[in-house]
Amino acid sequence: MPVVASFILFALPQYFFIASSFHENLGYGRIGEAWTLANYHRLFTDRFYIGALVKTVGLSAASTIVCLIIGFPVAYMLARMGTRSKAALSGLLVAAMFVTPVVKDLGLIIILSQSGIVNQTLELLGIITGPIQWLGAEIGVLIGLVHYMLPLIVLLLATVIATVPRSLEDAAHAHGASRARVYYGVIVPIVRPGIIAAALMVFNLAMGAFTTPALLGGGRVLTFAILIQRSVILDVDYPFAASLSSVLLVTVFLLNVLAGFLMVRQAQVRRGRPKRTAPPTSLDPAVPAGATAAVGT
Amino acid sequence: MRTDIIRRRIAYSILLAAYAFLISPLIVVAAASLDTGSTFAARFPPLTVGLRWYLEIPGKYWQALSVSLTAAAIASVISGALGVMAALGIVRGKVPGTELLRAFFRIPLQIPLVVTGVVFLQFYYGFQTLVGLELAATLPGLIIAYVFVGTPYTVGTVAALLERLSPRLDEAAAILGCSRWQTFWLVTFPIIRPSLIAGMLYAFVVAFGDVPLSIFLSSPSYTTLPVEIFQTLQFDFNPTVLAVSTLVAVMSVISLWMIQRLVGLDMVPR
Repeated sequence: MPVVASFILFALPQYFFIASSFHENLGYGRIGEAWTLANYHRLFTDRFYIGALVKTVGLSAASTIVCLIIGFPVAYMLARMGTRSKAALSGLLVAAMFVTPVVKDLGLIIILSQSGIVNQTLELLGIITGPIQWLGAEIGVLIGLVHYMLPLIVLLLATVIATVPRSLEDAAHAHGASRARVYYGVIVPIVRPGIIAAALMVFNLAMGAFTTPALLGGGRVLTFAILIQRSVILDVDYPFAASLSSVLLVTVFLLNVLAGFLMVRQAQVRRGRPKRTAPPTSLDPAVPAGATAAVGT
Repeated sequence: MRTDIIRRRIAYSILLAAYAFLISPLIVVAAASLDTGSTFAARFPPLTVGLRWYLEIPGKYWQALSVSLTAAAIASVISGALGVMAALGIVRGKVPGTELLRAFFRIPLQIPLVVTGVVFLQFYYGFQTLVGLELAATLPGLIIAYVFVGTPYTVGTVAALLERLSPRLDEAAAILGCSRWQTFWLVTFPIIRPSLIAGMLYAFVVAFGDVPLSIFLSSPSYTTLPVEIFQTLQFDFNPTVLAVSTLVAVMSVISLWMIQRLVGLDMVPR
């Protein structure tokens, strides 16, 4: 019974919402009776919306990659630390994650503003002559997204890396492997499924992020989440907001399926090669539901 | 060996830089909130130091803070109760398709919060025309939406612990003469309590810090603190927002620290 009840509570509103994307908007929040594909036609023929989708995917992918590049070494050090400093440092990460995004974005706005410390420092060092316009541009949103997702990806990667026994690294060292070879030849292949799972989680989070692009983009970087909010608040066009939402959901879903497909393919290719052992896919960190970004957007 | 030292230095500077990047916005906000001179823009580093903006925090922020705290607290308690029931059902229940059920409870996490917000707003309007009860921009409306996004966390944390728990504990309690109800309160509940609190904490934090969901479910006269701050930043900057933000950040960190002390939270979300 409770299952059925919660199912209705969860699923029915979603259904009505998505269904409304197939109806015409009559203004003032009223929705036409007849079924139509007009909303999707408008979305896919207008270059503005296609561009916004590409921009959203691009920003999410770029911020995920930056997060991985910064996050992996940090997570590695965290995983190989003594218990006490590890507890303190991961505590700091959780604290950073738990402060509401609006407050963190406010701090980033101050830092990145025209006369903020970043511009001042760069000018002082003679790297730039005039202030860089960080805010209201893609670069500002990218920095904001990285800031928003970095604690999560470090925590996720650290849990995965901690499952790799140190003795494996020592063995590789003893056999004369260089430091870089130990990284890319031993650790990365073992934790690859975990890295991909963490990256996907962070990517999905970025695709739906609202607060950070809205504040750091200053209304000039229009991601899909912002367009959805605008079409409801400014245009009161629920059907169109619904079609934007379903396109966003489907895009995220397809990209995840694609990533999963590539992962399986790669594992098969690897297994086909007899000389190298297959990566133990069982080391998937079993990234838990609870971890999806403890801080909503 | 020299290269080793250099390598270690590089490693530590990466670590330091990453943490500086993560923490600096909070420090900047706190420092700028102490500057008494700035009125049109935040000034960092501050030139004068005083608590002027803390004393001048307008009433709308306090009101929004109480809305946020009430809604998030009630929602996290409800999420906790639902989470325990759902987790018990998923792990202990003998119904088929528990994997599906589990995936089902993760759905809210997969939907961007903006989408959830629009869905709830439209749902509330529909509900109002059908039943005549207004839910948009009310406390119950916010709570229902927060429970929706918070329950996956409590289900996740509690189920993760229940899975590692031996069913023999229950059998032992039964042999010793406990009723099922007693078994739950005397055996199961004390064991799952830390993970339940952790899940409820996540649910609370998500609700308390949320903008994209609450922005649809609030009105200018009834709004949550993050939405109020968000609107201030978008439309009319005012230095008191720095003071409010600092208070929120300090509160979050202190409560996290206290709960960690109380239940020894596993710091990594699970």
